[in-house]
Amino acid sequence: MPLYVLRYKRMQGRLAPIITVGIKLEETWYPIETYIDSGAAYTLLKAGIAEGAGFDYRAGHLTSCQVGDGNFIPVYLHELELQIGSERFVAPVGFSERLGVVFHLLGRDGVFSRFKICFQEQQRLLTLEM
Amino acid sequence: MDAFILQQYDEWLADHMEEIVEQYPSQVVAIHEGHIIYTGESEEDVYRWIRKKALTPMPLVFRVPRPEDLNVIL
Repeated sequence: MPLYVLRYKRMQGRLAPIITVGIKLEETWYPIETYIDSGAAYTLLKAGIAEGAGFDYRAGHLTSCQVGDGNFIPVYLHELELQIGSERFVAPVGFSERLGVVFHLLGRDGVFSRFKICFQEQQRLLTLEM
Repeated sequence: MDAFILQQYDEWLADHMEEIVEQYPSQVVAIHEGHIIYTGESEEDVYRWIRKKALTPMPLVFRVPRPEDLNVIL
């Protein structure tokens, strides 16, 4: 079974479970930094990457998503190809202009069902096992 | 995309994220072959520059958090 071992990233002396994944937009693969967020139902990206890639994210299914402060933000949902390590798979991906956190969020749907993810903070490692 | 390229980006950032956060807070950076090759105010601007340069492999682009951003997410 494929096993991917990635390192936590250190910022301001603290460790963050941020990993580089690929996303395919308009036939082009883009590497992006994503914060692994088990509290997010699906992967959520800031709209800037779609705008930069010329991807019409507003053509997706419009829904809303409740964020940490209790408010709802508009999200445009798509089914898109993601890549972790050498594994490519399709997962729901939402885009929002109002995602307030600085990193994209790697959520559960299509990801946590595919990988067993272990947060080994003591070893500063993240393991993703298929 | 090439899994090796993804791995290289991830490892390079694991080594350099702390210094990038110190040097480029709130800027959008583009990383390519182990260097920061461009910084801008928005992801759209940075990707526009990348498309003009037609770089391969595709650079890694992200907005560098400010210290106050880290208080929220960490």
